[in-house]
Parts: sequence; structure tokens; C-alpha cells
Amino acid sequence: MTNPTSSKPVLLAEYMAGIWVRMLRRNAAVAAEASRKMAAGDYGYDDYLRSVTTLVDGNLLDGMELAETLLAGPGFKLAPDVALSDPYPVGPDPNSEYEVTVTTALSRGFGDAVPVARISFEAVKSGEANRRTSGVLPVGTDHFRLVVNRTNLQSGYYFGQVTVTARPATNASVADQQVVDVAIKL
Amino acid sequence: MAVGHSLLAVYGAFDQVVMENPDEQVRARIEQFLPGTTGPGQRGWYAQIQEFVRRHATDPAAAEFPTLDDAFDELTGRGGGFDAASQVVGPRERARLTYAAAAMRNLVDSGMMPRERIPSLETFNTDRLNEALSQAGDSTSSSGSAAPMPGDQRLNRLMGMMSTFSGRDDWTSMMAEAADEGLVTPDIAAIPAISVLGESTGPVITLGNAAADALQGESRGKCTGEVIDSDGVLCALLTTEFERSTISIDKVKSIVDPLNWDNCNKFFVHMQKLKPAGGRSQVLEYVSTDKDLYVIKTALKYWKQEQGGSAVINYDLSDNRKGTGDTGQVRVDSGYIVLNPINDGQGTRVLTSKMVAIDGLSPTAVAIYASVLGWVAIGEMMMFDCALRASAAKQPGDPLVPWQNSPEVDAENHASISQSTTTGSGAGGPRVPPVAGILMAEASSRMADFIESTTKDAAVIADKWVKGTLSVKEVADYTGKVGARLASEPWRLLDDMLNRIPTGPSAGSPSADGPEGGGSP
Repeated sequence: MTNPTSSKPVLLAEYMAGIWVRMLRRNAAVAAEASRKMAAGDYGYDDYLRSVTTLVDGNLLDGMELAETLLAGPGFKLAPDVALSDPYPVGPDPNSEYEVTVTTALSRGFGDAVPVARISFEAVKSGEANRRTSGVLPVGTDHFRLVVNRTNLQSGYYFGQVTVTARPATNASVADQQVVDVAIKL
Repeated sequence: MAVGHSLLAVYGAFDQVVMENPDEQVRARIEQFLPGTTGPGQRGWYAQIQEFVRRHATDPAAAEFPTLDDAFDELTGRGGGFDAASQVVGPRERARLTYAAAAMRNLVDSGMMPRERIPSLETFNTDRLNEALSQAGDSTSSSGSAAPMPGDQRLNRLMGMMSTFSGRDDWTSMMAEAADEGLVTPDIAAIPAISVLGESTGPVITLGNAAADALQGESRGKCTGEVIDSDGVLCALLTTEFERSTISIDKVKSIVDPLNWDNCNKFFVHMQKLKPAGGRSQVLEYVSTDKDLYVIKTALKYWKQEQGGSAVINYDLSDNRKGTGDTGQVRVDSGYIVLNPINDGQGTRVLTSKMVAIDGLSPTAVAIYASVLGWVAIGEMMMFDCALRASAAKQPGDPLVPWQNSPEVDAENHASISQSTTTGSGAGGPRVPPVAGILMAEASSRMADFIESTTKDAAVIADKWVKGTLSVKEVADYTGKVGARLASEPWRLLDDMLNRIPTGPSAGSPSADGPEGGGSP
């Protein structure tokens, strides 16, 4: 494995290797300076003490860094897996349930698309907590949002269309069906 | 010397302090100013970027970054005042410098920036911080709005505000007040502090240049930074949201095509048109912080679409990068640029997202590279500034490409797949890389092999490590397996290296490793 990448094991390796390198460079510098002075006959007890102190100080610091690195991790707070779209209005009948279905897959123009299984819908109703649904929006829903599990999806502005249909099971006075252009930023 | 490297040297000073000082108080204070940069695995980003540049430089010996004094010299016009006409240091770079100088002034004054063991800082003349801060009110050619107060008075007022500035979250209100009083120019105040992690919001700035309507109105913006896992690759996820109330979407659309980015910002050295594929436009993006030293080339595909009055560009790595001239350092690069009309069509909101991973750089280093230097600029002021000076942005042989919805027709005569060679070898033939380069490459490789080979649970351990969820017991078990080799391997490597590095004035001496001396990884 010689090609450094951003994968997790290699990231850990690179970070720890970095600490090694610092240790090596410091030690190499101290050793080189000591050798030079020894060759010139200038290396005395004070120099020896200075070398040792430098090495011990530096290596203690590096040792702490290694231990802390292993224990604490890099502290990356990973971005959430779930993304929400802007809200889209639901209607026109406030007394009807509506069902939202994806009719044109959400894509970026590159031929890839968000798998439908990754998409759910959040019902936004005034005065109530938002409710996650599989697509059936309860009576009185003002808006809905797309909810996408973005795991391993590339960043992009994903376009698509959904169809919002009044549910025949309710007493909707308007048998309406609307096609809505939707998008979500991942 | 390159402006980008000077800015990195200024921000890198914080990282060098963090690396050389385990003092939790010092690290906590610096974390306040640069959130997400001081934790284990986060810190050390400056040496990573230096190493990255060395590794890809045509002449590694010329890839040393400037000392802090030299960096401030360049960014402040060598004490002679800011040269607005030069266009070398624009409002964005000045905003970055102003923030770093204010943070450093604060830390130095409170004794929280110990400079021992950091050659670049030990000799640093801190008067340069005042110089940088006082220049934040000097007019720029793009705004033309000179602050009315002399520099020393502006500095005194800014220093008076320092007591309320203890971290990034305080910067917005400080800049709003400073802009109101004319201590900093509006275009500098409007740019938020850099965001490696979390959200950084700029103040709402009222622009009042009567010379042109487009320069009036309101400006506001914010940036966010996060780390995201994409198929096991850790990426920086950077977003921006900026708006200007008096620059219309049509003006921004006229310059937003990626082929125009090199007309707008020097970080984009060149944007070379490639043959479209499947209706998708393609471009070979050349970026660099010092184009004479190294260039990263990345083949991108992009798609332009309008929807409900908005204009959108999606981009990602090209499906086939081979043969395009792509140099391969960028592993992930995807995102969007969305233009929304605001203010009854008179203004525009620009939203951008970028998910990016670069070989050899941690997500922290990538985020800083992108934020301090170029990519994030796209969403900040680049689009507005470029739209305002569209006629000036036209360059001989490189006209602005207008907006046109995808798909792009493949006109054969337009095809221009690059025949260029990749960077890295340099015109001067092979050179001996610096000691640090040999060490880092060798140590990274050995460490990676080592981690893979010492435990079957390496992937699980690494995954937990990244999330910071390793337990003490897991660490004890893990280090029990690898402990002896962890302790002994550096010495084996040192022995190897000392035997391999040719003897000479630079071998094994601190000077060979550049200005960081004892150096931090």
C-alpha cells in the first residue's frame, strides 16, 4: 500500500506516520549535531545534557500525541446521513389526505439517480411536530419535504418530479392530482 | 512567492503552535478561532499541505513555504501599504488575512501563542499584525470605498474591539461594527471567517457606492464545513450561501460556466474545454496556489439546467479521466452551484456545495486548502465580482462562455481532449526530493502496511478512530498488538533513512526540512 488516500485506515496511518516523521527529524537533527561536535572535539557534558533533554522532551510530546490520537480519534463529526429539501405546498383541499409518489427519479443530469427506497417524506402541519411518512400525508398537512438518506451519494442538486394525489379513501371534494417539480441539495 | 502560500503560512502558524504545544488551554483557544483544526487527526494540516506541494512540485527544492515575516510582507505590500491596483491580493485574501491577524493579535496579547521551538514564529515581528489590521480599511479597486479614518486611528478602534473577540462566533458582530465605523471596507467585512467545521456567518453589509447601482444594496453570506464519509473515503463537505441584492441572475449566469472560472480567480490557472460526453459538458480544471511550482489537473463533467427561474450547475469527476491530462490527485469532487433570483429579480443568491477528497490530505487539510485559497471562492464573492467586471474578465484568446442549458452537442471541431502531459516530473529532470519528502512517503507507506498487517480488525479500529468512539479497552487491546512495533519502528526507519540519504550539507540536518525546522507533520 503505497498510494496515500483518504480512506480511514490510511488516514490513521498517515497521521501516525506524521508523528513518526517529526520524531525522526528531531532525533536525526540532534544526532547529526552531536556527531558534528564530536568530530570537532567540541562535544562536552553540557552538550550531552542538551541532546538528551531535547530528545526526551520531544519524544515525550510525540508519545503523548500518539496515545491521544489513538484514544480520541480525529474528532471528525461526520455530516448527517439525512438531508431535507425545501418545503412544497400541499393542496388544494385541506380536508383531504394526499399521497406523494416519485414519478421522475431525482438525478443530477449524469444518469445517476437517488434510489426511491432512500426517499421518504416529511409532513409539515401547522401547530404540530413534523412527521416522517412513506408518502401519505395526513389531513391538514400544509407542506411536505423530501427526506433523503444520502449515504454514499455524491454532492449535487438532484432534480425530479413527484405526483401529489388526493386519496380517494377520504371525502376529498376535489379529485386532484398535481405534478410538482422538486429538488434536493445533497 | 505566491499569495496563496503566504496565506497558508499565516494560518499554518496556528497549526504549528498547536503541534508544538500540548497545553490544552492553548489548543482550546486556537480551536475557538479555527474550529475543527486542533483535535487529534485534525491538527498537523499545515505540514500535510506543505508535503503535498513538495510531492507534486516540479522543483521540490523551490517548494518551501515563506516564513511568517515574509508572508506578512507580501500580503501587506511590504509595509508600503496595500496596492489596490495590483489585483494580486483581492478582498477575499485581505479578509482572510484580517481574520488571521486579529486572531493572532488576540492570542499573542493573552499569552496563548507560545512561540518556542517554532523558528518562523520565534523571530516574528508582531508589529506586522497591526499593519495588517490597519490596512483592512484601505480601499480596494472593486469597492472604491475608502475608509475615512487614518490607519492608526482605525487600528486603535479595532484594538478596542478586541476584548469582545474571543472566537469565530464573535467575528460577525465585530465586522458589522467595524464596517459601520469605516474601520474595514465593506467587501472585506462581508466575507465570513473560514469554516473548516461548523457554520460561519458574515454580517449583513450595506454597500453604498453611488457610482454604480450594482455596487449598492445588501450583501450577506455564510459558509459551512463538515466531514462526510463517501464509500469509505473521508471528504470535506463545504457549502456557501451568498447573496447580493443588486446583481441580477442574468449577470451571474453570464459568467458562471466553469470554463470562465480562470477569468475570475487566479487559483483556477486554466479551464480547458474537453469534448462533451453523453451531452454532458467537460472541462479539465487546472488549479494551483503557485502555478510555476505545481498544478492539479482534474477532469470534470457538468450539467447546466434551469428550473423555475433558478439556474443550476451540477459537476462531478468525469466518467473517463484517462487520457484527458487529469493528474489523479483528486479522489472525490462533486457538487453544485445554484443561482436563485431574489429582490424581485434584481438580486441573486448563490448556493454552492463541494464534496472533495485529495490524496495525501486529511479532510481538515482539504477544507483549509479549499477555504483559504480557491474553491470556496466560487460561492463567496467570485461570481459577483466577476459578474461586475465581466468586460474586464474577458481575456485575449479566452472569451467568456455564455450560459447554455445542457445537453451540449458534440461538435467535432470543438473537441480538444488534452494531449498535455501530467505534472510532477518537471522540465529540469529528476531531482532529489527533500529529506522530509523521503521520510514522509516512506513512513506513510510503512505505517499503512503496518496497520493493515498487524490486526485483522484494522478497518474496524480505523472506523471507530475516525468517529472518536474507540474505548479505552479497545485502545489497550490494539496497542497491545502493535505496541512493540510502534515503539521500535521509528528507529528502524531512522536507521534506514540515515543509510539511504546521501551525505552532504542537507542530509539529516534541520535546515534540509525547511522553515519548520523540527517540523510538525
